[in-house]
Amino acid sequence: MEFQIFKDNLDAIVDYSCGIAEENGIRGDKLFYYRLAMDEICTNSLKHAYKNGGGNIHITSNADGNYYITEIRDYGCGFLFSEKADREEESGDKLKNSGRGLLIVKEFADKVEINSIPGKGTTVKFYMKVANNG
Amino acid sequence: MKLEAKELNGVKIIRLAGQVRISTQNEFKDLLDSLVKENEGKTVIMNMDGVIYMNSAGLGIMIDTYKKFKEMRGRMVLCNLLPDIMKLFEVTKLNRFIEIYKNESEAMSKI
Repeated sequence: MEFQIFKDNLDAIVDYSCGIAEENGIRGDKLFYYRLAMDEICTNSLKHAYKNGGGNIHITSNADGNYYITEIRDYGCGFLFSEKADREEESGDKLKNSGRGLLIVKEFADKVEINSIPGKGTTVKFYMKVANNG
Repeated sequence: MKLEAKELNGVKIIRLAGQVRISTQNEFKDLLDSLVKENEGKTVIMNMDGVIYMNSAGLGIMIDTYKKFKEMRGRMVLCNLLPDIMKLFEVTKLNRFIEIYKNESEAMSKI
């Protein structure tokens, strides 16, 4: 699904995605983690890819065996992993006020894949284990 | 976001409630900025049992508040974090810097 993302509708997009995830078996703590991951990825798109100016994101989700897989694609500025790693390394401040979004996604999702091309955009795909009701 | 304040044996205890997300983060920041200004040089216990959601921006505001208290020779300690919120502090290693206690009694006994 394609959305135009702005500061005013980011929470609604996250809530909508969480509703679909819940219908697909993401519940309890996992739903909290899913919400966090969606929140951080969408915020990164808005803040970094579109420099807070708003832009399009494409979200797809599907259940595959034990996992619920969500892919968020933006068409913003993208980044080079080497530059990002350098920036993170340069900042020795362990109590800095920002820069934890991706760390949170990596810690709370069961698996994360990131593909970014400068000038083309970024795709983040994350996997959450579906609760076993049996 | 909701903030309730009480005082116990001269220590201010603040109970925070709500969700910290993009639509509420400015309100959350304003609430905590006022708290810092009103409690210069004092110790404040923040009871977080009503905070059911917080993102990295919320963590950033908590860090900012912690630093401001410190700069003003005050102290901010947290207690009663819900398990998912506690995990967020652990994953980001902020629990190594910000004092976090199980409940108000434990926080009171440690300050």
